[in-house]
Amino acid sequence: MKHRGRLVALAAGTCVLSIYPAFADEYHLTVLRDALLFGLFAVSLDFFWGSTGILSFGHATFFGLGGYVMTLVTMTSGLPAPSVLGLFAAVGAPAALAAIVGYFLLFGGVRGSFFTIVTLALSVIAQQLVISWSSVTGGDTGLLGVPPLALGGYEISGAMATYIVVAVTLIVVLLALRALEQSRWGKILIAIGDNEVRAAALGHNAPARLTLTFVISAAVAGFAGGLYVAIAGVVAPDLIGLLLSTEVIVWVAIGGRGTLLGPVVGAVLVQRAQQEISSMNPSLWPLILGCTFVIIVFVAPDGVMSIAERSRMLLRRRSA
Amino acid sequence: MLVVSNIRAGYDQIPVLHGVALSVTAGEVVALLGRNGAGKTTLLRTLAGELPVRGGLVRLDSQDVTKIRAYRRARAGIAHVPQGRGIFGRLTVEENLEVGTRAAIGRRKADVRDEVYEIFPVLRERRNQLAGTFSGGQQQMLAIARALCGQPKVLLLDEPSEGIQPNIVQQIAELVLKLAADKGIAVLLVEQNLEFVLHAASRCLVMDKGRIVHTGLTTEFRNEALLKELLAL
Repeated sequence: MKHRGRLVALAAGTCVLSIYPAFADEYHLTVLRDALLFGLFAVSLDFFWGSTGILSFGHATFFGLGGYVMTLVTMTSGLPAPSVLGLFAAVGAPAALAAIVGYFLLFGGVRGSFFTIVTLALSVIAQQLVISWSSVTGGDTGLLGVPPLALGGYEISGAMATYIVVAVTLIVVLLALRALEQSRWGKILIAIGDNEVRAAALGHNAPARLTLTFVISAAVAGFAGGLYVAIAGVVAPDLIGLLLSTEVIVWVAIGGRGTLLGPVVGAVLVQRAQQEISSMNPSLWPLILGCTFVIIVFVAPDGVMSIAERSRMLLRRRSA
Repeated sequence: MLVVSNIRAGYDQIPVLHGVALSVTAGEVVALLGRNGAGKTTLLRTLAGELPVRGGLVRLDSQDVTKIRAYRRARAGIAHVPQGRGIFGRLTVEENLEVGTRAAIGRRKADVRDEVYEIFPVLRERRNQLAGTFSGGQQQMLAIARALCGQPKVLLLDEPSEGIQPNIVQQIAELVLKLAADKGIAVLLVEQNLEFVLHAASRCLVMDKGRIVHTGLTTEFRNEALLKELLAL
């Protein structure tokens, strides 16, 4: 039942995304597009956090690394198919970093809040690094003029084209990760998250599974980062830092951890609210975000996606 | 089947087992008795690979498994059903069993889930139910069923009767006996419930302070005076 509900939600989301351009002007289309890219980033975090229960507080490291790598590759002149190469690098570099970090932490038995704190430190280090290494990264201001995506000689630019690319990518990634979660792989991850010692006693190499999941999660985050900089045309330290690492956790928590689709909804809603409220009063936003976060945790700990399910259960209980 | 010689183990700096030796042959059910703190659970956890062996040898058939990690021991054929059962509450019965099949991969070919459902018809009825909603007895059956999905050679059972209503305890005891006989599994059992032990086990080992202090046939333990002496019950 629950699974079918999520599939229906995904289908409904796909419908909304496909009709939205007919009603929205160019500005709103680009706003939603950017929100969806961050939604893709949120999905990557949820894939790891939601199934294993281990929170990475430094996920922007992978998003930002993907962005910087994409920038450096596509801004190097003379490469054939720079966008394709760039995206491969934007996936590969964060995956490699996650493999190294994951190997030392997860095989070393670092779990729970310790893992969270170490990854938080990773994000801080990454941000310091890109700020101070200004000859390569452009320092505080970042790098401007990242070339747009180009595939086979066609440049993908303009609100409509980039929107379609982002929406299709998001849906494909969601379906792929969902398939992975529904498979035997996903069950084993839940088992490991539930009770790692037990999973090992049943013959599962838990650290290897966790590390591989972390790598996949980082690869998706890097991919989102690579797409983002190519579409935005700019990369800056705020894409790799602690603030974004925190925000993505809020998106996932508000949208619903472990639902994959929820984090996209969370990312879109929160960013929309952020724009509305900031335009009224810029200093009000952090306060409201903080309060909303606390309220969500208390009222709907499984995220906004679960509100429908919970109210249905309440109704059923009342009618019974 | 399972041969343990002179093993030492414990938690961090605290030694608990001071040289334990035992053997369990295929199809045999052996019970470990002893007071709280004697080291029974520690022994099972050590054999499962959860705690490192500090000395001595653990052999499974002709393979030395002393040094290998828990997940590899499981794949070699040692299954452990711990106290408190440790079922995966967020997964359904079917998914719990699926996760349990990993230990058999590479060693045995067929998936035995259908066969396991034959042994536990109640689990088949509830295959799509979340395991977290189960009663203690059902969880115990699920935990044993899940271990069987790995097609073990050795089954380590830690207090299977704990927190279970009496008529189910009887059922589980019969089941353990039957599994050992039919499938040739070597069962090592920690149990406080003497009825269970008398019903299922053919041999008993008594532990005290990290050592085995007495070995005998189960029939011998029907003698109350001896029980009093050994277990101070």
